[in-house]
Amino acid sequence: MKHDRPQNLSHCFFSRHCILFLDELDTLYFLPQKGFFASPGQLPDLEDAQLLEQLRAHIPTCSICAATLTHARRFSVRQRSMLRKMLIESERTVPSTSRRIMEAVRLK
Amino acid sequence: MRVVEDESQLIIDACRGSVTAFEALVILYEPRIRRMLYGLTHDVQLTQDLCQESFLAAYRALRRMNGEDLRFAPWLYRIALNQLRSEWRRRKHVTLLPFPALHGNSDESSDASSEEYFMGDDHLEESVSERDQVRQVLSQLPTASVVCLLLDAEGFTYKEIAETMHDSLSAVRSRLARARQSFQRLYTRLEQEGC
Repeated sequence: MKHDRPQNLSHCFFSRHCILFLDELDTLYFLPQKGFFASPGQLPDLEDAQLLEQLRAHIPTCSICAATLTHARRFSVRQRSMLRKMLIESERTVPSTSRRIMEAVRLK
Repeated sequence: MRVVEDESQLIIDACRGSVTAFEALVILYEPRIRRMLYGLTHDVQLTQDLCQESFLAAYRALRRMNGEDLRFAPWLYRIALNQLRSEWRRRKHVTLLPFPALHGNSDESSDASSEEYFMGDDHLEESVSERDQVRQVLSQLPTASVVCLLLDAEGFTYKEIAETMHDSLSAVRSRLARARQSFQRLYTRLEQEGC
C-alpha cells in the first residue's frame, strides 16, 4: 500500500475538511446539482450542510483539495478492502452458532 | 445496512413472536455478528459464546420492540457490543486482538495457512502477511476506532454507526477520519519494517 502524501496539503484551509467529509462528498445521497441530501435519514446538521456546500464549490477550483481527496479515497478504499478480507476470514475461522442459538430459542 | 428486501417484514414478524422470522434473521445476521466479534476478540470460543448470548438477548428484547420503527442492524450490533463490553468488565482483562505469531497461531485454520505459506505460494504469502499486518494495526487502535472501521467496512452508513455506538454523526465522522489516518500510518510503518 503506497501512501505518498501529496505535497503542501496543509496550505489549504479546506483540506482537512475534505478528509473529514470524504464519504459524504462521495456518497450518492448527496445530490450535487441540487445541494441536498436524498434521504431524510442522511440529513446533516445545518452547519455541516453549509460546509459541504462550500467544499463542493471549492474542490473543483483547488488542486490541493482535489489531490487530498484522491489520496484519501485511495487509502480508504484499500483499507475497507483489507478489513473486509479480514472479516470474511474471521467468519471462516469461527464455526457458526446459528444452530445453537435456535436450539436455545426453541427450549425457551 | 439492509441484508434482504423483505427484512422489514421479518423484523415485524419477529417482534410479534414469530420464531421462524427470528430464525431467518439469525441466518442473515449471525455470520456478520460472529465475524465482527472475532475481529474484536480474536478468540473463537469467546466469539461463539458472545454471539449466542447476543442473539438470545435480542430474542428476549424483540417482543418489547416496535417492529415498524426498529432499525434492526444497528440495534443488534449494539447488543453484541454491549455483551462484549460486559464480558470485558467481568473478566477484567481480555486481550484485544492478540497478534499471532507471524505465520500461524493456535487455531486450526491458521495452522493450515501457516503450512501453505511455506509451500511458496506468493499470493498466499502476501495475503497472510497482509492479514497479520491488519490485525497488528487494529490491535494498536482504540476499540471504538476499530468498531468504527469494521462497521464502515461492513457497509454501515454514518447514521447506522452513530446509532450502534450511541454517538453523534459528527463524532463518528471525526472518529472514522482519525481511525483511517492512524490505520494508514501504522500500516505503512509495518510495511517499512518489513513485518
